[in-house]
Parts: sequence; C-alpha cells; structure tokens
Amino acid sequence: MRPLGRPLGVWLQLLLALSFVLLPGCAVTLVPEYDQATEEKLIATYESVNRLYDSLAEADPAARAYDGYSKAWADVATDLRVLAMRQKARPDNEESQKIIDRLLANWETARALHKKRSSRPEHRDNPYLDSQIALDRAQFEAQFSAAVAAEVFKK
Amino acid sequence: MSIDWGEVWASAVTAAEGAVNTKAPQAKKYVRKIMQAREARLKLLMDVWADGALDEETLEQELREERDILEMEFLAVRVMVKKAAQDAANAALKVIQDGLLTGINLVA
Repeated sequence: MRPLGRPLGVWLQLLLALSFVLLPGCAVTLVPEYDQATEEKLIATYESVNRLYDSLAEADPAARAYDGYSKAWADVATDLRVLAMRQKARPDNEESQKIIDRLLANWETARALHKKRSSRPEHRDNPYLDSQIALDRAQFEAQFSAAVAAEVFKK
Repeated sequence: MSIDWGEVWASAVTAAEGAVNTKAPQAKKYVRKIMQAREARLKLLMDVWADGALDEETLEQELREERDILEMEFLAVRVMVKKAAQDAANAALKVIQDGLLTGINLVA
C-alpha cells in the first residue's frame, strides 16, 4: 500500500520542484552585477596612464627624471587603489579583484623602476628608454583591457 | 491548467543550452584575440632580444610580465564562463518556476 497514493518518484519530483520555488532568492549568482562605474573609472585611469606615457615619450630623454612625473604616477596609483577597494566590496568578484591587484602591483613596479633609474647617475641622461616606454605602455594597455573585459563580460 | 513535468524539464534544458550557446562564440573570439596579441608580442620580444636591444634580465622581466598579462586575460575569460553558467542556470530555473506557477501535472 502506498500511504500517499502516488509513486515515490513523483513525490521526489514534487519535492525537487518545490525546492526551486521555496529556496530563498532562487537565482544563481556566480558573478556580480555589471558595474558601469568600474568600467568608466578603468577607462578614465587608462587615459591618465596613456597621458603619462605620451608626455614621457615626447620629453627630451634627459628630462624624463622621476621627479617631474611623480604626481602622475601617484595619481594613477591612487585611482587603482580606489578601484581595488571597490572590487573587494563586491561579492563573487574574485577575478576582477585579482586583475586590479596585479595591475596595481605592476604599476608600482614600473614606478619604482623609473624612480630607481632616475636616481642613478649612469642613467640620468635617459632614465626611461624609448623602447621601455613602448613596452610598458603596451603591457599596461593589455592589462587595462583585461580589467575592462572582465567587467563588460558581467553584462 | 496543468502542464507535463517532462516538457518543463526539456524546456529548461533548452533554455540553459541557449544561454551557453549565446556566450560560446564570444568566448572563443576573445580567446583567439588575446592569444594572437600575445603571440605577436612574444615574437616582438624575441626579435628585440635577438637584435641585442634587451639584456637577459630585462627579457626575463618582460616574459614574466607577459605571463602575468595572459593570466589576467584568462581571469577575464573565467568571468565570461561563469556568467554563461549563471545565465544557463537561471534560464533553466525560470522555466521551472514558470511551470510551477502554471501548475505541473506530476502524474506519472
């Protein structure tokens, strides 16, 4: 005798079906909502990076010492730190957090290298070589593109 | 009104597949683009190194950065894949929820 008058499989299906309805929220969340402010801030920060590399490339090699560009380096670092903090505040956002953290770390590495070369007498005639400007600029472009893509893919 | 659970489930599977199929070409295109960019970049680095314009230490640093960029780009790919999975799961759940609201006929 079946106590409830239906096959067990049907009751299991019913239980499964009801669980979809009764589970709180029910929607699956693996990535956070797209954040327009993050995308816009990334693009704005990339503009600042590009402006810095433009002015370095345009400058006479001997006039490329770190001191003349310290504010631009610091401004970008601040923007990246603010972006990193924003990403950490968003749940399920591990990938974007990692990308921005690495971007910030690489920015600080390039900044430290510029500072170090500028302090060395043997490099004072050209503390940031044209070839290095081109390499670094291209690498930051790729890194910012990855960060923007990670945000756009959440749409 | 009642509908058949088997039909609802089949529709849920179709909805999930549809969500994945929408994202798959986008993911493929992005991966191809980043791999082409990295290939061009590595070739350039090798050429510059062969010309003697880069010392070994700088080359190693550049290669480390290239690996770093590739990892960052694949983190972006992971976001895309997770979003596709999320859309697929939610598309399936929506079909099931709609079916439940309509009233599923569970009689075997």
